[in-house]
Amino acid sequence: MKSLFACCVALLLATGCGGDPRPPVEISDVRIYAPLPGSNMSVAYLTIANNTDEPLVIADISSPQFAGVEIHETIMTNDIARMRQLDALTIPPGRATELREGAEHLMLTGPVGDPALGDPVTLFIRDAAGGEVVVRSNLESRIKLDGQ
Amino acid sequence: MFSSPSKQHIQGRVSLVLAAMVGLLAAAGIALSLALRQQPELQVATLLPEPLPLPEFALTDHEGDAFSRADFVGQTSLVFFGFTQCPDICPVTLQQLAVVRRNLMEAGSSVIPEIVFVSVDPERDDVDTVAAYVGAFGDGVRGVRGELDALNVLTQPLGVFHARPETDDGYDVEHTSAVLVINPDAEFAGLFRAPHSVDRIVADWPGLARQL
Repeated sequence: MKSLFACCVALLLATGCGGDPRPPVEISDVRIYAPLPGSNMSVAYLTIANNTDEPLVIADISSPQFAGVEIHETIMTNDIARMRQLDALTIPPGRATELREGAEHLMLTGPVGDPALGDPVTLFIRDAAGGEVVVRSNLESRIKLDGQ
Repeated sequence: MFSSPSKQHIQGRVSLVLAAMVGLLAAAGIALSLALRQQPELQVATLLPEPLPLPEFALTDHEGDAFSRADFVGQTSLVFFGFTQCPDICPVTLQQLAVVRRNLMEAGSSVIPEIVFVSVDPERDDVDTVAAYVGAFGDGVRGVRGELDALNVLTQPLGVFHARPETDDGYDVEHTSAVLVINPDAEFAGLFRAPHSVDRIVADWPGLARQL
């Protein structure tokens, strides 16, 4: 399988491939939350846009700041919340998938050290063919009492 | 040969018809009144037809104090069942409830709910863990925990679901996503079903609080 990330290794520096001015994969709306007190888990939300004409299969995500990064989905059926781990995240050609609250998300387990608000976090997002994109952000507070 | 009805007979029939119409109108009015009283302008809240008294249960709050049915008496509570290691729906919901509480206080609501988080993960959620967790959501959020048997005394009569399916690297926790409304008589009186919306809960609150 051809890697969709092949010609654009660093996401934010990506300038596009071929005649399309857009990068093949765009990642936006990144929010990586610091674990809450008492919790060994956290979460990241982001939007992944696949600007190519082939399906994008995200097969592996890792971070030096967390022991594990898993793709999860929250499922609500009959007023019961369940989580399901996904083997991969497939984004159809020309579409974007929003990882968000109450839906697909990245579960971050086992924070390394004692992470604090504002600390930098790096996510390595790899497709099924081994291509990689790097996302850098900072830990945000999960609690925003002016939120909805 | 039929005799023609007398004036008195006709008046009697008219009276009967009028009485029946008045009765029907009165019944319709009562029915409408009841309907309006029971479901005024609620968008997302569901009121139980009859409030369900909470069972007698014995749990522990996040300060290590005993927590029982009596702790619900005299105040309105919003109760959410979850677990501290939950990355998505639990912190989202608790944050929403904390914002609901703050917005109601700022709006001068006469009924300010206490937020109660009941852990359904007794293995990982000890008192200290629950205390640290609920403290992140500000004042007015109380954490509660208990061992499985004690927990089930509260959850089963209320129809609150929780389960612990095994996974390759441990276990998941599944749980009811609705927020239960407990009235000041310690009765399960209503609920908000997920997905939750701060604005809709706040909008429903005056109409709901009047009927608790």
